[in-house]
Amino acid sequence: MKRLHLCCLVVAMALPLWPSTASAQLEFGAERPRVFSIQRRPYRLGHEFQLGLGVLPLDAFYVGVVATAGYTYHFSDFWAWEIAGAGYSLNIGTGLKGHLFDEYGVEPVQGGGEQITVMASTSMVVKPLFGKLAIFNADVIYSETFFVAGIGPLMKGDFWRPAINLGAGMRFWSGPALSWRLDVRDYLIFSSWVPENSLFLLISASFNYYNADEHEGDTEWPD
Amino acid sequence: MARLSTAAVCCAAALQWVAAPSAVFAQEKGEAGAAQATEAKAAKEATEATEATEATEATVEAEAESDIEVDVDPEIFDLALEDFYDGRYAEAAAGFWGYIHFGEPAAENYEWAQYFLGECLRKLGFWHAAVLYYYTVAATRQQPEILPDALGRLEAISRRRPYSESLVLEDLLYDSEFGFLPDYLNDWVQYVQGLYDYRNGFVDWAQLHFAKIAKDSPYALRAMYVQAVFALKNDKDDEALAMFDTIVDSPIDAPDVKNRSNLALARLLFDTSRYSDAFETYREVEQIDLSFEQAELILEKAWAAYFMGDRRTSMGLLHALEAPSYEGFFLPDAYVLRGLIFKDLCHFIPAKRVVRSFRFRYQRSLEMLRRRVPMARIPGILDAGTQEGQVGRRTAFLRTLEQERRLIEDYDSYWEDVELDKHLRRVYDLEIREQSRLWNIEFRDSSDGAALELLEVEEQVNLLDYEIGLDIFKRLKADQARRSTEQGLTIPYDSANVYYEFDEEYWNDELHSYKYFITSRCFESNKGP
Repeated sequence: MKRLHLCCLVVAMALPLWPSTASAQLEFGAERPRVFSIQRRPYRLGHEFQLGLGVLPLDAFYVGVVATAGYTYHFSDFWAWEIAGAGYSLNIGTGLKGHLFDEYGVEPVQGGGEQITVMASTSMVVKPLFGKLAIFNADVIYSETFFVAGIGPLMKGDFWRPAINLGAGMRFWSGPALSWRLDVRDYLIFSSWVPENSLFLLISASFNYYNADEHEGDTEWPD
Repeated sequence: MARLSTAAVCCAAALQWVAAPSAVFAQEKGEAGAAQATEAKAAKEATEATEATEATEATVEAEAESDIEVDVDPEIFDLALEDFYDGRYAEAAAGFWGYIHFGEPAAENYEWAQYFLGECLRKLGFWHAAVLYYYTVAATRQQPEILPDALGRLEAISRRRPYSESLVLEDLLYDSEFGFLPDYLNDWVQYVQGLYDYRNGFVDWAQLHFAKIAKDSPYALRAMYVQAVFALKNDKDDEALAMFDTIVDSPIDAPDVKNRSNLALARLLFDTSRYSDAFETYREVEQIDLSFEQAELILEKAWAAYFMGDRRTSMGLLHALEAPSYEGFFLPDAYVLRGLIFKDLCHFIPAKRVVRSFRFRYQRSLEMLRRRVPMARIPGILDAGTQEGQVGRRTAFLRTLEQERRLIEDYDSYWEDVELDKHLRRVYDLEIREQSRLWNIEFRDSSDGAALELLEVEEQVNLLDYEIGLDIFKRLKADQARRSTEQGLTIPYDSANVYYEFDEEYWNDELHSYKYFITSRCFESNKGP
């Protein structure tokens, strides 16, 4: 009886060690097949012209409403260079400056009152994520996620300051020539050795001109 | 041996398929010769006389044999018309029906009332009843000015919905002279008359009808399609090929017939062992997503890819067929192809599993077949016998009839005073009975075909099983014991193509683009996937 209990115990302990994928391994061994759907990219980018409207939300003293324009050249489906991007910020005060003066009789110092008015940058773009999304189970939309890193001057107050920008964004296509972008970028502005931080949110429309001959030379398309 | 037999099965099936989309000629086989054609015509006329009468008797009787004699105020028609234009179709239908049912056929607006009753019923979703009234207006032709409208409705319905083909095409159009008609309706009438002449063996007459179709009409292409299928049936493959090519290249906007021509062309190319051309042509064919026709197309493409030697594509297409939406379709030779590919690549255990899964899926049906259980009671055969061709269309029509009959309940309160609901129930019951009778006749043939196909595939699978067993224990010489070198799978990170790895989720747009990357385990051969 005791031996039976011992057997049961051994079996119970051994069960979790039993390989759960035994059947799959039996079927194909190490040469398990992989299945891919290989499709031609439905939308490809070449020369991209961008117009957008953004916001600088982080500064407590003002909110910048930024009109932007840009041009990006896409080397491939992975690499692109945003050759030029520029924006003009229309700044709206939050009332904090007046409130501080009225209540406490103080004014911001050490650049605290300086506002960004003009932004310019040139950036590298990588686009590692491309996919499709089912929308309401009724349609499919194509989307891309990209990352940017760039440099460029910003006019803050009365001076041009060097800045680095890092960010990410998503693009949704509504056709081969038109797509919509949502960009989130962080500007590190070097007014001194310690950079100031400024977040920039941007929604833009991108107009694309894609010349198949320029990009597709001897591309092999899937069957 | 198994591979050869499979090819034979495939080719035979392809030939059958070439004829199948034509559904046009489904019943024609063996009807060659003028004597037979005359007999067929005589028999058809006899059947027509009874069927046409039966199909419309409910309408006509109910209209003409009113028990209640009342004077119908002509204003009823105007009031019903007002309801119609205000979008109150149920009320309008009751008004028009009252006008027809209680009134005299000689009344001024009698035919208009019939036409508008048809319109109301169509708007309410009673397509068959609407067809009956359009038919009545077109058949009696008391007021010729309504004829183009009624025929126009019938033409549109014939392109878009299941309908009573015998009523509209045979009884109304085939033997009728309509006089002057607008061009597009004349083309339709000539096409139908030509088609039925072809079916009945009156080829010269058919060609006369087809010659009257405008050259830029979609019906001209349909007529050419009929001629191409006829040529195919008479072993004039080159002639058929040329005609299908002409249809495909025609600038006329007729996507459905071009699609069918592409499919016929692909099957013809497959049949002549031009697999690459066939595969390219199959790619031009568009089918409704997740339909049986699409599943059939995927399987045909898989066979073409297999004969081209592209096993990755072939297996990818077979992988698509495993999508849940295709699960219920009768495509037994998919198992043969999958098993063959696994065997070719020396994956013997998966090949054995394919054999086992075929038996798991069809064993019960096969046993029932051997016990001579009636075909309609064998689940697989019932599905197989009704999924395409004439019987498939009749099944769809029967379903529509049943749905529409159920819909009558929604309008009981509007119609019970004039008993339109009772009348419609009678119309639908009669049509369902008639269509069921015809369905039974057609199902007998189609189910025989499906049963035969299943038995043949079982034989193929048994052979395959045997060959796998032989291959497993095949002896090798020492110098053959090396693995074949083959190109590995490389996925570029930056490419104009997107690689979506399958993750247990089927996307409709991916069904035709799967690639199945599997390495060959064979030693001595140079077989690569």
